[in-house]
Amino acid sequence: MIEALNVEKTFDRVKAVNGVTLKIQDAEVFGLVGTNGAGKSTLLRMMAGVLIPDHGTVCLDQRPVYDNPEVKRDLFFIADDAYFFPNSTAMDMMQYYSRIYPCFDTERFQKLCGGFELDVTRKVADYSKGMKKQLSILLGICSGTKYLLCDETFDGLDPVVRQGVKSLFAGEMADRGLTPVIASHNLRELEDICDHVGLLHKGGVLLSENIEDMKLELQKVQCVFASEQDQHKAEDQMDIMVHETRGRLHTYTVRGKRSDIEVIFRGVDTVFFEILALSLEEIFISETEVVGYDVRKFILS
Amino acid sequence: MMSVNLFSAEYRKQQKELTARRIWVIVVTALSLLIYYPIGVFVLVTRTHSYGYVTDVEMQRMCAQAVRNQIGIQQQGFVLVMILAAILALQGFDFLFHRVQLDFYESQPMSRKQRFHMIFQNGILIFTLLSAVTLLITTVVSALFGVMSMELLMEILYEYLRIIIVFLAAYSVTVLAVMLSGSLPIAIIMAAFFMGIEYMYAFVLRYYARIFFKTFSDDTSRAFAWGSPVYHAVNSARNTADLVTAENYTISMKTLGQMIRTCLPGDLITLAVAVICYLIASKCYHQRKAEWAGKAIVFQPVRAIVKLLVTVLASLSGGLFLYAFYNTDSTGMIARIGMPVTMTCVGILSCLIFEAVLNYNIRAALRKAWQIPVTVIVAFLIFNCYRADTFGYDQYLPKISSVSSCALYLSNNGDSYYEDNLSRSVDTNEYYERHMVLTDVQDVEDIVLESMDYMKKWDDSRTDYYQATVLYRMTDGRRVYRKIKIPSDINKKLMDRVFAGSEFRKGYFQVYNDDAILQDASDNMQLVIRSGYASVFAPGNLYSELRKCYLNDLEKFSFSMASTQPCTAVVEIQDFSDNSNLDVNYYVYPEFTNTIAFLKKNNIYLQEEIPVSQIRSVKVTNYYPGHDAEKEDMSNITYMNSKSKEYTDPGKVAEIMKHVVSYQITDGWLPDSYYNSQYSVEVASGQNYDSSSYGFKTGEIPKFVKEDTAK
Repeated sequence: MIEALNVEKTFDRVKAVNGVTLKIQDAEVFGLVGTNGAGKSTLLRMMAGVLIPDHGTVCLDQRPVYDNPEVKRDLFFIADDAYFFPNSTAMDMMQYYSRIYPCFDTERFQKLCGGFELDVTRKVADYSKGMKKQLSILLGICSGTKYLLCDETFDGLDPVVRQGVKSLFAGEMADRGLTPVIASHNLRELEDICDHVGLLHKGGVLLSENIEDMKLELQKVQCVFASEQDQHKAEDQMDIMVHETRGRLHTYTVRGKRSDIEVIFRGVDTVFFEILALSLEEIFISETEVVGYDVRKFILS
Repeated sequence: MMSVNLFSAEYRKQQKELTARRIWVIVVTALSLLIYYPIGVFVLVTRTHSYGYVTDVEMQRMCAQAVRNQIGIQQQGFVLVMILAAILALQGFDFLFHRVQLDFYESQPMSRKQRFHMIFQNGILIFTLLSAVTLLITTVVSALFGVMSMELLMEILYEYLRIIIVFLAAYSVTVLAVMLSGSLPIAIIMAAFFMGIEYMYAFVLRYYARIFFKTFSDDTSRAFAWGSPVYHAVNSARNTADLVTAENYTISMKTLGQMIRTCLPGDLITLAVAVICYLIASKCYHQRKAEWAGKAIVFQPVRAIVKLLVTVLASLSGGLFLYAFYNTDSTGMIARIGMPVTMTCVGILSCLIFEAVLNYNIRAALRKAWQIPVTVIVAFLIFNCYRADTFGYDQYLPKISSVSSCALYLSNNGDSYYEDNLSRSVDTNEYYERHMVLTDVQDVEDIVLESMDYMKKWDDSRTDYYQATVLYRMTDGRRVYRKIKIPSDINKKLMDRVFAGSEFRKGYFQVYNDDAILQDASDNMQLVIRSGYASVFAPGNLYSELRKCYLNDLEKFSFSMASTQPCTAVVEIQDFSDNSNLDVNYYVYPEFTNTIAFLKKNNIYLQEEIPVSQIRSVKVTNYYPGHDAEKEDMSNITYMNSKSKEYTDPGKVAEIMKHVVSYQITDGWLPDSYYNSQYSVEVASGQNYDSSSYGFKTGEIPKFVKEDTAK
């Protein structure tokens, strides 16, 4: 488990991370979302032991990560701009990492490179941006670490490769309990892969929830009431977060289980009634609006 | 955790892996060392072989010197070594300047301490191995040319150790500079700053002391930048060069021992600098944060200190430059107004430039503007310490109880002194310092006090003084030097109390330390007895008898004697054979009856005054016709047409010769005021148109001379 406890980090009087406390459970995909400058990379670099928090602690399996080689053997950090040795090939990097990480699977790496059509004998400097990202991911996966910290890793990957990487993650999680932590500024990228999402904004955590739980607890209802009395009756029974109307069509985002909502609407007369699936974006917009944030502008890119 | 054992397989694997990633810097280091050492030796030796008409022995000696110049203690390769050390340090820790590389390295399972030591040791390993290989090749190349001896081999081995020490110092200093910097250009500047700051401050402050302190004793042979590896490298090369020259370029084991002893203190200090910088760098690396990559100077206190040191130095140097440019004096307008104004301008400008450079932004020049007045004030305070002598440097007189002994001697005495080695005269000041131990400190301080009083009333036109140096050997081991002007009319009894004592004589006269000369008193040595107008020669085997007479006579020596009359003769002891360069003067005063009797007994005594019958003519030149320099202030008269008159009339010649004294046989204790500086007298004598220079005694210019040269 990765734990950040009241972590703060300031750069030149600017608080990049401000009192963040969150827990990342093992064997789940954690998405760290937020706008540019929200503090995602800083938090991730602290988790990777690159940065030392000004305040608070970051622990992996209850051990502080900063300047702790024992702990760092359990993590692999893929930076947004990965570093490769000058004039090195993928093979060179594989050899380097295999000395650093004892569990590095060289055979698998070469096999995966073949699968992703990466020439291991070609200089990395000649790779495209996307290919470098793929190489970083493959190196990370093959290092055999428990935690894989990915900073904007899916940027620059085409949909096919992205899907392939997601499959790899799923496989690794199933096989050896890999815990990927993925930072991104794009919620849509993470929706179908993450189990848990933390939303960072201006250095603080707005939300940290299990996606499924959020989906179960929030419902989006579209309906046309037969009369105003029916409308008032239904609204009095619901915990409404967002309410929009277009003509006679009402759209509600309400807190509560689907079955409970259905019970309420069975008791009122409607011309039209439907419970819709909520996207991650919609859940976040609803949740954050409640606490006073207008997150549309920074989530919807 | 990965092992950090120096001899473990894991450590070797890590070093090998790291080395493999530093190929280009290895190539640069190897090529530089190869070009400088083996190829340099090859070129120098083959060039030496191209010299024609040289004996085999001489050729062998020249070739050995060529090799020594390139790989021996005298070599100048320490500059290259320092540059390579800086390159290895900068390249090794370059990742600290780049966020991408920091993310890469710092997230890996290796402790910061281990990473620091691994890289630090890797640079040392690369240089140590490459320099050992290149020096081995150089030794082989030298041996193939037949230029190798046990002495040279030992010198090369010792020099290898010294190279490593110099490397370690430059390497550690550069690593420390890297730890304190956030970018490569700043790290380079910081490394240069650390290497040179003490040297530069010492140089500038020494210059200020020379300008403003009347009692400042300036002697470049004394160490003045103790913590600077550059200074010690330069100093060792210079001092050993003197030794080698003295040995006529033939090095024995004894000379090698002397060379090592000369270099050892500086080498040990350099090693200490390396260790201290390494420890600080190690601590800084531990404290250093990854987010500092890309900044200028990463530790704020260091930034402020460096800025202050640099800008104050720039400010002081600006004032100094103005002073040197106008070649002015310490009390003129330039020193009083020009220097402060220049210092202010340079101080402000340097602060602006410093901020602009450190922020990589010209618009940031005015940041931390409050530091500008701090710089100017500090520079002014330092300047004022010198100009106004705030701490009473010129009034310094130590407590008698804190001084164990003193030495008092004429500064820049032109005479030569020898110790064990007759092929090389020793530094005059060092000779006095080693041999003159005046334990009656009170008498010396009384002289100093009187000199200080005189110096307070000083003006540049005065010439009635002796320029002397006083050394206080303090009870705590320190040595304090002061330059004083002893007035020529000083209380002679006071001076005699010091001068007539055996402690002064033993430190001042070569004859008390003449074991080497005595052993050398052979056919190669000769005695030259000079008067003002002639010389006679005598064999060196007379020396032992001469010294006995002279030692007896010196018992009578006093300041009163030496400062009121010229010598009658000077005995010059010379030996210019292969292994000697001996040339010392023994001054003979009229009271030295034993020596004079010895000279007469051996028919080598020259009459004190030149017989008038031998004089063909006397030419008198008046440099200030129409003036009287003894009565008038001549400082404002810059140039006049001189007036000369030649006399052949025996009567006038005899009259003139009664009042002149020779310049050639004085020992420095006869004050300038003894001579009249307005007239010169050239005496032509003998058959071969020889002429001798004389001067009139003050107040004794014949009336007819004044009249003849008045217009």
